[in-house]
Amino acid sequence: MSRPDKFLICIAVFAAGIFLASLIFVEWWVILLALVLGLGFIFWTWFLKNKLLFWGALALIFVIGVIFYQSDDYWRQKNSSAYLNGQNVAAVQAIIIGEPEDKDSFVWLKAELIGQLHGKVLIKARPHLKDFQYGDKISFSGQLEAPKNSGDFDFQAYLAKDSIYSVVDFPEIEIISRHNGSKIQSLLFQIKSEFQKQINSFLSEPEAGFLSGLLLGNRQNLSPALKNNLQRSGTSHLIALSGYNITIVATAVLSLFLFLGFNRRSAFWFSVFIIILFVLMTGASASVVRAAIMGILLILGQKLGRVYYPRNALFLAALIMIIINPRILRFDLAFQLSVMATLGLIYFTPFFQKILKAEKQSFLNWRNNLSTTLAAQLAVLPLLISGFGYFSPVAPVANILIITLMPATMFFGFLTVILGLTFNLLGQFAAFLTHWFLKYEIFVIDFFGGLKFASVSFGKFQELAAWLSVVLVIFLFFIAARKKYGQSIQI
Amino acid sequence: MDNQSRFKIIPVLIGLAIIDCLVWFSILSFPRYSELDFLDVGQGDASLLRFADSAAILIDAGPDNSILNGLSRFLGFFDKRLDVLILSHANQDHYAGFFDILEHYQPRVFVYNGLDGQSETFNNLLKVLTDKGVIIVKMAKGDKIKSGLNVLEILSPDGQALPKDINDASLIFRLTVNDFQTLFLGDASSKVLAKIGDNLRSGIVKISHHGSKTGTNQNILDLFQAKIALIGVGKDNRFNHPAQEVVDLLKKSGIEVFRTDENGNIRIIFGPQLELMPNY
Repeated sequence: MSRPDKFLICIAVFAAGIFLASLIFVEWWVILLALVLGLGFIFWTWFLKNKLLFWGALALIFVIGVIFYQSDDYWRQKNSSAYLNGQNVAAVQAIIIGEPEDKDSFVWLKAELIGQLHGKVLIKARPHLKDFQYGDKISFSGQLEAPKNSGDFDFQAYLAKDSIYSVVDFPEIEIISRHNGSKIQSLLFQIKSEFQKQINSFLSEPEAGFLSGLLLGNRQNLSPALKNNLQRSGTSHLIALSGYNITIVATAVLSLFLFLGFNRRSAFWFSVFIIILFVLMTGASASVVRAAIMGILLILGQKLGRVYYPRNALFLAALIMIIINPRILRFDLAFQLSVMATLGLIYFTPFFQKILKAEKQSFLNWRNNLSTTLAAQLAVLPLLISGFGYFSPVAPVANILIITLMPATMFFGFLTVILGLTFNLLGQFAAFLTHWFLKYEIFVIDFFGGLKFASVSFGKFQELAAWLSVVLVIFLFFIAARKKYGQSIQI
Repeated sequence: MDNQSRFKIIPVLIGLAIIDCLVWFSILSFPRYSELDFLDVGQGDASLLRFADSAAILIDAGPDNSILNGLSRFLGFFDKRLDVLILSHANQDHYAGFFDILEHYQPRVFVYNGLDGQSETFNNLLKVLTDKGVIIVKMAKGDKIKSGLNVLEILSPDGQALPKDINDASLIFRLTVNDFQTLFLGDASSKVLAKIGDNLRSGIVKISHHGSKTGTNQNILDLFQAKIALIGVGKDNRFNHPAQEVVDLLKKSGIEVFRTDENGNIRIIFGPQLELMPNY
């Protein structure tokens, strides 16, 4: 076994430990016993110079995964506001720690209690009640409650992922003062809102809402009908600011700096810097962070003169993210989707490229685009079926028709914003071009989303279908790995 | 001219052609006649009024951002101008859409009845309007908005004695374009309408309060002597608007009823003849 392979196996086993701990609580005495046995086994094999040493180490890493998750969970709960649940509080002070999230009939505010109290809470407020912003110090009066799960959706776990253990419904809120958050973060949110303003001033709905999804990951202005069609046509990843979008941004920034005459080295470092700012600006969602880490590792690999193995980079990126927050492994669908999609790109793309003869010249490079689309779609199939209960057979076609024009759309979109901030009239012209791209893309989404057979729902066979797809995809990964696919590839 | 420079001229020509198209496009998109678009915004009211001289007035904005789709469709891609916003009264289903409008458009004047302190959210709207530099004007009975020969004349409430009830304080006004009259009633109750009396005579009426019983009865219909009734309602709304009695009454009186839940956006063109296009 080569050294990178061992490294990957270690990460996978660590993740398996975390996954187990997220399913069941392992008693501490069991952990202690396993730890002692594992260490004993390692010393014994090390002493005898036995080949089983690696297996002992794996067992130990598994246990460490369990310990890591459980202690993380313990500290979260200890520092949470769970002890206040069920209580009425008056004039409690808190600071808003994220951008307000618009949920149609109400607004979500994530806030951290300050003063005598501690912990993070989710406040539900009426829309447009006040002009809440990131960093506002507020004072509220209301009742703290534990989050309630509704239907299949595990709301508790969803919020616990962000260390939130209490919900306050429609309290009385006053804004005490502004700008109490991190200076850098407020500045970035300001830039984001400036971008949003430019988009809104040049474009109309639904085009403006779609473009802000593409560029900023903002999905608030999308109409329910368009959201529905995005889902049905299997294209909603486009407006989620997935790894795909950020890769386009990274490549564009890099080429810009090279074009401006920077040497390769400083161009790289500037791009890294801009990627990090961009991630912060968009609120650092799992898939964006994953894509950003991948992008930076790619650049770093080139700088260090090593061969770049996307597979290793992906595992390392996932590891870093799991260490920062182990809960995402099981409770963050965006993280799961982005890891699986990337695995798919790495392992399945060569296969589809072979079938579709991607090395041939093709119109707008459709052969290559279709290969990557099919690869990613195949890999996320189990997640889609188990998470949403359906899959979209029209997705490959809808995606290929849109993705082909995506870089151009994003380019003209950014151009519109930048020109809007500098030469308004030219911005108008860029907006006009962007608008036609967006119109076309929305037309494709509405067309495919509107087809009767756009989404196939499994009804009561959902679980069976999910398991079958899991087995299928694992089997295909196995075959792809044996064929030595996934060695190096442009992502 | 050699071959190379001939090729260089082509992009310039294409550019000029595009700009030319854009100019004509925007000239032709000015309405020839004054138009009134009664917009489908779900459960709520919103009407876009565009005069032939291009001034644009929005009367109420519906409950949410669905107003934006309607506006972008009827104003066109380049037109981000709204001259006057009019709010009949401070209920969410009439004003919440203004928040979204202010994120996309730069209106110049905001007109309302001056009844303040109704809710925190409404105070927030006034604050956002002020921050955006929109001129806020309070209007009452006797005030007029004119654009050329077209007049919007406010019939109620009395500025000296504002009713306490939000709905009854609605700005009620009559629009006169050419010889056609259109009446906007907000959500006012029939008690208030009865007081206005003969001034209510009008060919087209935006029925009060989404067709609820409180705003329409036989006496009021006699005052209107209307031909066409407009009702802004959402499909299967939880208030059961419009009331069946009101719909029956309107039909019995020989008034044609157009409602946004069944007829979608309704366009009325004040040309030499009145043209009405449902599901526009």
